[in-house]
Amino acid sequence: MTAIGIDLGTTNSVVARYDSGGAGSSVVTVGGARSTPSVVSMRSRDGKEELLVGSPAFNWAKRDPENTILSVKRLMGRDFADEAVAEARERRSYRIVPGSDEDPRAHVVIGRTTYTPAQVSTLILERLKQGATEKLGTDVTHAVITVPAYFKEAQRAATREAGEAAGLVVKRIIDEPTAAAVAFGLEHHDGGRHRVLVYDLGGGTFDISILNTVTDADGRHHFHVLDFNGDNWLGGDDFDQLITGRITEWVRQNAGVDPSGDSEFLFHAKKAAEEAKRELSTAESTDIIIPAAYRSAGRPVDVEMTLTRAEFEEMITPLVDRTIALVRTALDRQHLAPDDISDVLLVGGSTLVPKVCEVVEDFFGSGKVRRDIDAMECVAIGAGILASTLHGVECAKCGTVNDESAKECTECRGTLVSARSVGELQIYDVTGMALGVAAVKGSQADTFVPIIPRGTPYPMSEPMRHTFQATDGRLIRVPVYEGDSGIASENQEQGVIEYELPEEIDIHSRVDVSFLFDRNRELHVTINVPGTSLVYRKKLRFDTARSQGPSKVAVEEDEATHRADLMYVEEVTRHFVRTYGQYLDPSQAMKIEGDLNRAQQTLVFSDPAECRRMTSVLEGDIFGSGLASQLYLAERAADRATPDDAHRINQAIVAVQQAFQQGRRETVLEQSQALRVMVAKVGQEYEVSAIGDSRSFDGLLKLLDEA
Amino acid sequence: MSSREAQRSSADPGPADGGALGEVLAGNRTATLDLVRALDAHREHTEHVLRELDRVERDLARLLSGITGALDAFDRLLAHDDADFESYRASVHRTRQLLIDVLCNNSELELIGWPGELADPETHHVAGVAEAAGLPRDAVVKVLKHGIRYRGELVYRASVIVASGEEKQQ
Repeated sequence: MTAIGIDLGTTNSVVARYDSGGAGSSVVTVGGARSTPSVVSMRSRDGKEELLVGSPAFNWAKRDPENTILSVKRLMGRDFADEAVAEARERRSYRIVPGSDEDPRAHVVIGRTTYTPAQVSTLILERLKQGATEKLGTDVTHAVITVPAYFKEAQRAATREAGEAAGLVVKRIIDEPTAAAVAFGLEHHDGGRHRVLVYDLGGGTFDISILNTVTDADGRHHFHVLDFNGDNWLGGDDFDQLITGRITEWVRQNAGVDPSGDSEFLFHAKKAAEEAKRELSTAESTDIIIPAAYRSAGRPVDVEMTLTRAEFEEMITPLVDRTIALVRTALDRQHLAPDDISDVLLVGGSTLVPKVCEVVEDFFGSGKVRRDIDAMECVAIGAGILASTLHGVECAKCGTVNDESAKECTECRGTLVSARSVGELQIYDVTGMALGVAAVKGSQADTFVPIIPRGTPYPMSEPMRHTFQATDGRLIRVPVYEGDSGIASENQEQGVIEYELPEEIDIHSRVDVSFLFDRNRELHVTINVPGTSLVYRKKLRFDTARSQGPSKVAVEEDEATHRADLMYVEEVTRHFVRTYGQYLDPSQAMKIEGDLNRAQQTLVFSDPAECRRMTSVLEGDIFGSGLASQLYLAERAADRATPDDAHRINQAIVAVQQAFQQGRRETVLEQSQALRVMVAKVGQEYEVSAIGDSRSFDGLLKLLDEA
Repeated sequence: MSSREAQRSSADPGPADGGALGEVLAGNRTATLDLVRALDAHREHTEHVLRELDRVERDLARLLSGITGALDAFDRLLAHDDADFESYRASVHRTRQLLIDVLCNNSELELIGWPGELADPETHHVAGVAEAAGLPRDAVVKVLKHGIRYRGELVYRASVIVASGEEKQQ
């Protein structure tokens, strides 16, 4: 077994290996280079299409931009409807398309073939595996692959899928800042708690992560990413661009011509800018000389200028200040001051610019800033250390150590889903965000209910469970979200589990939903109905159709329609209150009164999205207000039922009303239960909605407290 | 027993330990042989590195001499500021050829990127695409920066503008 660490970067990828025999960590060159462009392209020749990966693809990017996939990492595991995908579509020349009907993920097109971003990453990982195998002279079989801390579960799953498709046993998917911390040896800190800030300024992206590192009583190291922030479109390339602009300006002023539209001039200016930036890392000034950089009126124009470090630093100050503002935001969000940070790690090639380092040191204090490991390679090096110090997974049942590729223990045949990694370096990850489900709470069908809280160490030995109430007798639908907002649709949807029940259950039955996060950070969901044999187990898939949450398309619908809908529902709600108000709890009555006032205000301003939301809120009031709603629905069901059924329902309604007026609470509960069954039966037999025109929750689960 | 006596006792094997002594000696012999083999390999490697260093020094000397020669040629050209344009241009062209010869003929160095050749994504970075009559698709129209291959290994790729393969619309 030969294991490597892979920093699968947005622009470039790096492979590293750790030799525990004494040689230590080193970067593995691929095709002679220390980094490989994360690019896939295509060359057409003699009617044949040939895929290019890495440097050849980068070299060919301008030849065929429509078939060159750059920065595919930005698309990994994202839905086509994702904002980040829309932004990439604006900036990239290649085609980004949605998947098939049931697959919401973004895909890319090369030639006549459509690929998922994971498939593109597979091509890159295959190239890295092959290059490392050639360089090391041994078959590379296992890998630890890094991902940004902000990657959601779907993005991590896509990365793992890419690694496995490339023929690698993926030992771990690990956060980039955690890998950097390992490279800097932070797990060797003496006991206690440390708070680390990773400042990662690459060529095109800027990421900040705040980590807690804790060593527990058993000597295991826990790395917990507390928060992350950044700018997806800020990096060292912007510095180069500023110098290129300065060279262009020099030509304008000294030769009286504008070369900014000349691609050849810009090529030479950019090369000179990159070189000048490198020189200014050590020198106080640099000469930029480009003979015959531009041709004007038949005469060559030479560039011959000097750029001082002071001038360069003045140019980049606004950009560097922006990074510090983002650092401050990340700290503020965690209620931390710079003094609360024990170590600052500088990662990414652009941190080699002295001004960047100086500003970070000024902010945090120079003693804390670490840059003793190559900033461009430390993430890969950390992954390489982990790759060679993790030696399989230990069966929780019998203690046998198995290879990471094993699904079950070779000794006892027990499942290895929650098996922990074994190795010299004991590092445990914790979840960066809460994982939970969308459920119904009161009138809101978009409530996020966390099941695995943020900061939970994994792999988990036991599943975590939450109990709900069914809203549908034949279907249980569990949309899984990841995030911190109490509103599900404001979080990142990870997929949907749908359980079509083989036998009908009472719509108010209790339903348990359990989540188990395994060592591969894959989510195992179990749905069961206590008291029955109904159990449904499923591993979450990220390529399934998403739930029908609030969508932008809906928001953009016709304004007049939404306004008319709200006016109608407002009138129905007022009628509901007039007729059934006596059966409302005082708190329910107050809530509906408040909602009606808000609905009126909404009608004044006529915002379509708010009209739609208030319509939903009022519908929730009508159909979710306990006994009053039940009586309303029963009367509506009676209107549509046969005379016999209508008679029985009306009798039950009278019985409930009498019991209520006489204050016989228990009888009310019993009678209302019978009434509910009758209404459901009518709905089933005559295809009359069991809850009239109420919102269908499509199998969503309801919070017990709100039942 | 003093500690010194104890040490002597454990270091001096008695007649009963003859077999063990034999094993120790055999082990030492094997270790010595391994050491000699490792030293031989090390010496061989060092000699190889020294030979390579010598070769690199010779290459470098030739390269520097050639570059200095080209520099002298430029100085001579600049001294003739009254030369006519065409003869001046011809001299510049010859000096350029001198530099190419210096780079390519004396130091196992190969320049990559020549107009007319087909661009190869392994060695040519396409910086732009242009319409060029008569040139096939992907043929190099212009070289923005030469690439270098040294002793068969790619050091720098060439940056070129290639032909689109489509004729200019009239």
